[in-house]
Amino acid sequence: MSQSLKPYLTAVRHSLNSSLCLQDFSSQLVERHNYPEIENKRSPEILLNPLHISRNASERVLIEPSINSVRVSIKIKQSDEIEEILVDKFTRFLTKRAENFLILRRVPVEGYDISFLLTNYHQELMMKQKLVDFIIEFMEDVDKEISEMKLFLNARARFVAESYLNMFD
Amino acid sequence: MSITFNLSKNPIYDHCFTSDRTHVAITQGKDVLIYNLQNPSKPQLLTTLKHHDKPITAVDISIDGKIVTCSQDRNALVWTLQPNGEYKETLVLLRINRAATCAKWSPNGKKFAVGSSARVISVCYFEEENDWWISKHIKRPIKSTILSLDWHENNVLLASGSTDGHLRVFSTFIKGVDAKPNPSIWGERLPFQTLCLDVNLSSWIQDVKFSPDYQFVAGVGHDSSLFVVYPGSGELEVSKLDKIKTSNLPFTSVIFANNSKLICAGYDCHPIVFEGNASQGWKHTYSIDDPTKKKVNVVENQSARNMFRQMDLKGSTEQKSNTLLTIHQNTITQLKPFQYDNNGLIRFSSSGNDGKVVIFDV
Amino acid sequence: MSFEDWRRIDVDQYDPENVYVEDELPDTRPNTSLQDIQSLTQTLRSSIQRMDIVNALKTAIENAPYGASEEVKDAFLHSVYEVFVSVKLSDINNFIGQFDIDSIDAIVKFVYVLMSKEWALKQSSTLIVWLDRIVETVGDGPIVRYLSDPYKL
Repeated sequence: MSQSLKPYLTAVRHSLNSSLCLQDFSSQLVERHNYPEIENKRSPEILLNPLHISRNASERVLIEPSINSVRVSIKIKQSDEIEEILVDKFTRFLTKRAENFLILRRVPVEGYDISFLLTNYHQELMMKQKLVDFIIEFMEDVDKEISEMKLFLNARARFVAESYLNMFD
Repeated sequence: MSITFNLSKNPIYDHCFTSDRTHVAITQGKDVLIYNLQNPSKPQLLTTLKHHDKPITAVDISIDGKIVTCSQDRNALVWTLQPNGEYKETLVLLRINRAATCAKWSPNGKKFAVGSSARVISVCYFEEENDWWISKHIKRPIKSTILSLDWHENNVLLASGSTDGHLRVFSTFIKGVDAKPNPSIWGERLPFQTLCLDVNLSSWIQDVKFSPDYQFVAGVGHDSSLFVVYPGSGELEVSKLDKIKTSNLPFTSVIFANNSKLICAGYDCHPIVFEGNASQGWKHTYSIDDPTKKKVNVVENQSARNMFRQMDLKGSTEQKSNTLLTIHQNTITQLKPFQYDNNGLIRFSSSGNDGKVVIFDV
Repeated sequence: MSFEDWRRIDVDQYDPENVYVEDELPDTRPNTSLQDIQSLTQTLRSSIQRMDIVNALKTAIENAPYGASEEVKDAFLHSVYEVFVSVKLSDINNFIGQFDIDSIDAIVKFVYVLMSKEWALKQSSTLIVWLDRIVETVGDGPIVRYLSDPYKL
């Protein structure tokens, strides 16, 4: 199964590399405003075609580029209810601290678990290579962390159940 | 060899050199900084032009030393050098209701054009009696923000690139300011706002330039292609359109070295040269500051202290380089010609989002 | 007394200048019917049986129904999908070398559009391998061009 992970991550890396070509763009609709155009999709000519990259039905990435911002939404693999709860708690932990993250969006896009919003200011401030590396590493690490958390959870549950049921032995 | 000036930590959206090439004006957020570059390792800040209250998007210098700046606060200003060395601003009535995105002086310095997010190009000329610059608007058929402008040598024709994917050439003839232009391949009778060329290139046209002989136009689009458009003799006729697809990231700026050589630069952080002509088409020939030709600096024998520090900070012992292999560490925003000889351009300057201005050899 | 909520009326929607009219695209085929797509599918299937993937894709690229109705486009995408999944992963590199840059751009477009469809997700790993191999050979150009491509499927 991990054999299809590497092509999936390289595909996401190349797609991100190509869409992260951002420039400062003042609003055409509201004077003296400068906002990420992808969040307010009112001018169709400055939005680009969205890129879907899917490894299978439960792991997908959606990249929505525009002239001054890119929204990257990730759907994390959740194979059972326990994983769904863990992913929910994990993403809530991160999104509550979205300000420190800089590029994280507080609310994920509909149908996905977590979203990043990268603007031209982020690209001016930080190296594009590092931003792309960060998102790819994030995708890799999230899967590992969720499975680790599930293992620990099961181990703790087994321990608690054993010590409780020992009383009735 | 290239000369690098590390002028700032913040992005430089636009830059221009004075005609004697000793001073450079760069945009830094809301201000324009003018540096004296006679000592390459120690640029000296000469003055700061402060007036705008939103980021400045373009700066250009005319043949007689006047500087025009335009900004996202919907204003433009013309700065003239006073005898005491200071710059004094003159009012410009742009009459636009959105941000200004680019500004260019005409070759004789009597007019300048400002492109804006209001889907309008303002062509401004000086009115002596009120001591201000007033504008005439070019509106139709522009449908979206203007990203780039370039003047023809006759001070009347203006090429523009826009986010609606069109490369257009307009006439900006103003009675009383311009001399009647000679008939050319672009048209004979050219009243104000005449459309001489309109090509739909389907992607945002980041930069346009007239060729050195002013017979054709080149544009770079956001689909990482270079377009070379040859006009026909009929009205709005295009005799040839060359689209050169590249596998680089998109370009933000293009300049001509001579009639068969042009240089582009953009999100790849290094300039790329294309050569060709009308009959054989254009091809990529070589790259300047090519990262694939540089050797990666191998960090040898990292000390134990550094290794543990790395593990603590980043959770891994991998050594990844923190800098790009090209001179520019971030997108190149503008290319400007620097020095010519008998055959064409030999050096050009570039500014980038990393705060550097670099002078490259062609 | 009027009880209309004046503050929530969007005045900008009535401004004719705010509406962006997209350009007419040349080379579209709005009148392609389902029958045309069915005959195209037959042609593609026979090419697949002869293992002639290059011709199959070239035919598909030439007959892509830009501007047609959603059902026509969906039927077209189903047949293109069949072509992609019928190729063995090890053969992909040979096939990529036989296309010119315009065809490669169109192939990348098909791959991305297919990955956005729910029904194609079972074999999306094959599509990802196609994408990877193309980018390894040709570079990021086709992806950047797909972003600005006005011909939508």
